[in-house]
Amino acid sequence: MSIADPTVGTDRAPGALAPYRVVDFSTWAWLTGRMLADLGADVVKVEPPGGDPGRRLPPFADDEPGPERSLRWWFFNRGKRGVTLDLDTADGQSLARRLLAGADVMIESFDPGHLSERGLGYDDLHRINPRLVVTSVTPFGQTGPYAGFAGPDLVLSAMGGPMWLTGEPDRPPVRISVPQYELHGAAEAAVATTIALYHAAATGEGQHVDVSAQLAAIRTIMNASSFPYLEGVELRRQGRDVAHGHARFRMLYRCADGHVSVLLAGGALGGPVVTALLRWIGEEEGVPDWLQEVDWVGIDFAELAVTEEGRKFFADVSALIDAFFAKRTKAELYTEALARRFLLAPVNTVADIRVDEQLAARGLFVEVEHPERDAPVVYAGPWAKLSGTPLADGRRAPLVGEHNRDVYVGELGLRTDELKRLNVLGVV
Amino acid sequence: MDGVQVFEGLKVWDMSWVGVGPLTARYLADYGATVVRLDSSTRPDVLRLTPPFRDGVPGINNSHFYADYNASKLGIGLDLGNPLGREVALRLVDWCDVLLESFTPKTMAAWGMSYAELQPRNPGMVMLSTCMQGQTGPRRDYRGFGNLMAALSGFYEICGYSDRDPVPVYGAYTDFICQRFATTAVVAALDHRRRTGEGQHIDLSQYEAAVQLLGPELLDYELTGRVATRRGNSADAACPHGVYPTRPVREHEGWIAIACETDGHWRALCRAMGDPDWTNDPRWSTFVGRKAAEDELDGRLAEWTSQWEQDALFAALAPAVPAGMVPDQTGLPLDAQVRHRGYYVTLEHTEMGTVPYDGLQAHLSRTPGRLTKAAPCVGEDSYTVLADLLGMDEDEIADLLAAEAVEITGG
Repeated sequence: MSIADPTVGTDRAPGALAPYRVVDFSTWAWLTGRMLADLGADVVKVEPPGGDPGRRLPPFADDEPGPERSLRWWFFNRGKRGVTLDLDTADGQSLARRLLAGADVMIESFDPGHLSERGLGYDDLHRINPRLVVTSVTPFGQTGPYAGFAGPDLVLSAMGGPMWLTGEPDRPPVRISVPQYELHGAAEAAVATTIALYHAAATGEGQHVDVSAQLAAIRTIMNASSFPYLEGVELRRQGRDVAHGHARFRMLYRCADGHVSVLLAGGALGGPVVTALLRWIGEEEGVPDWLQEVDWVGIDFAELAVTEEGRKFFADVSALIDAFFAKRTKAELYTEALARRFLLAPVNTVADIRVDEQLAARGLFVEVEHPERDAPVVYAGPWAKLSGTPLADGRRAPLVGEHNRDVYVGELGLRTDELKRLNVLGVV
Repeated sequence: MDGVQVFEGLKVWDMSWVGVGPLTARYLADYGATVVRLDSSTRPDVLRLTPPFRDGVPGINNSHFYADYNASKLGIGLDLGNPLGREVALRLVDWCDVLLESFTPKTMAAWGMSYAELQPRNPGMVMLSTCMQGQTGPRRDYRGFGNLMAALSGFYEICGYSDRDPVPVYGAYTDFICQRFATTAVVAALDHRRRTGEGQHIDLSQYEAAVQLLGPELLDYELTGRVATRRGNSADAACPHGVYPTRPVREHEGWIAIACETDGHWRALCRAMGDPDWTNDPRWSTFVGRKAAEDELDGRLAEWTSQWEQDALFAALAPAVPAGMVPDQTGLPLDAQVRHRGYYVTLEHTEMGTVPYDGLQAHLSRTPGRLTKAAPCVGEDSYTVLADLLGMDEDEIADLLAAEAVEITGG
């Protein structure tokens, strides 16, 4: 099988995964194949005739719905080629087997059992192609009591632990407002797939990679899992503050034009930050005597949280910082924190990120040609700089069936009349 | 299972600290690499000073935060302020296949350990440098942690309720994005190296990796000018879509998440409720109708859910209605699916004893990863690293100890 060389016509070195062919059947775990495509793999996205159901997800380009206008589809399927194929027909299954016989990786996110019922389970594929890595990304994994259960983002945020820790105490806990945890599952699948591919390429031995997005979500709660076991304390949501063991730290503040984040905490993490911030406040406006002598590295925030006096102290410092920040913008605070080398970050919006000078200086935003539109579209592009094997430029996501002819006729060797027949039958 | 490990024999010098670097190295360690982690009691990784601590008692060898991120690794106590300590660090550069570091760019340069300086010593080495904002550009020296990065990269702005200030996501949220991009890049670079013998330098800005998870929202801003913001638990294309109270769980609040993405899910929810009269109102039968009166609908649902025990309600809803319990940290290891996957793994730590660790989120059928050991106490493995991995003799090691360039404890 000939593999399209993405570097033809450019002076760019081939990507780290350039020799590999990935066939991507996933219905939502698109980021996995996107990351492999960025690293140079030839990723062929397979969709049912008419297109992936995920193409109907908002937001849409210019707010006009349509199968070629879903921005989630665009962003996470960039750099892939696209073919259509009906897995519910014998012809479609046979075509899938032909595609997979010459592939290195298959990515799929169907309910467990869906592919086995179509003769495309791991054991079937292993017989055709023993070096194939089959990566199954699902909300809960291939086996177990919740295998096959739906896991939309809200459910993953809940069952993976982040939700319990997030929100205001007087309201229900919340998720991050746009889907995240399916993406963590898909990114985790990219890690595991690359590891299995490394093994397969070295030994000829493929395997089945079973990824649970629920577990990928659990990892994101960092050190929280073990607080009950080690310290006998359960962490809960605290609004703008964060619970850390028995202590509470403040994370967020209003400023003149939005919000900023500074860790109001003691100890090794927060102590130096608060010291530097109060020095600045002192220089500009003075600080009261009761604050002059505080040792912010040595202070015990766990103790502050349990005494009346401690809580008043925390509230008073908090109010002092609020008053100072209220008069200054995100940009002013960020600039001064950089100059004074203390840890502060503006709470950026996507609009702020789009004009961030550091991201611009490093060329994060790239223009991607969309021949069906008047002008190219700007995407958040390369997420790493690899000195020897730079990430691919990545063409825009494929239109429905855009590469059927290239792949089926050009690479699998189907005759044109065979492709026409499959077209008429609705297989492709 | 034949016990083969993918990275058997791969040598990793982990000079990184805090989150992304150590987590990336832990993937390599869990899949069989020999990972040596830089350590020090005089300039300790800040995680060594951060809870949870065994029995709540702070101590440099008592932080499970550090122990979890550095399981499956060996440690070496090394003073990089000492010229002999730096000499050992360079010996490990010569030894390794992969070098990981996560300082601001000028730190490695000050030690004479920039990629340009190290590359001639070990041209086949894959080196990952991952700092907050990348190795180049005006903000390259920005210091911070993944919680600040979550603010910078847009996640706090979109977390919380539409009528209130944002709330933080717990923890160094972006670390768990970046560890996955970083590890994928390192393993891909290793595959390239296996085929070509060529090493390379990977510059991964945590800012640039993190914003990949807001890619569609950045595109939306580009094409419509819409600025994504927080909106509680509501969703564009699903209703009801929220978190509702149940009866208390272990004397804490109980909550259940319900996400009706289709009219079919809504009808299944009605059936689970026993098709009460109020659900017959025709406005509830379509997404548009439900969305138009979302607050009223949420109120009616909450009335119903609050009569239920959390686990019984989950059993009554899933899988016909997409639903999820909202476990606290005690509840997570008790979750039937988490237990089935064997996610939490207990290991015996020299000072902390037996403690559960976060395990693997992916199962590889032929070469499964595994946690091989608890994290080292400071200096615990130094002798092993110097003698067995670097092949130093007793005199050399004694000289390093006398110069206080290395720390060796125990054994």
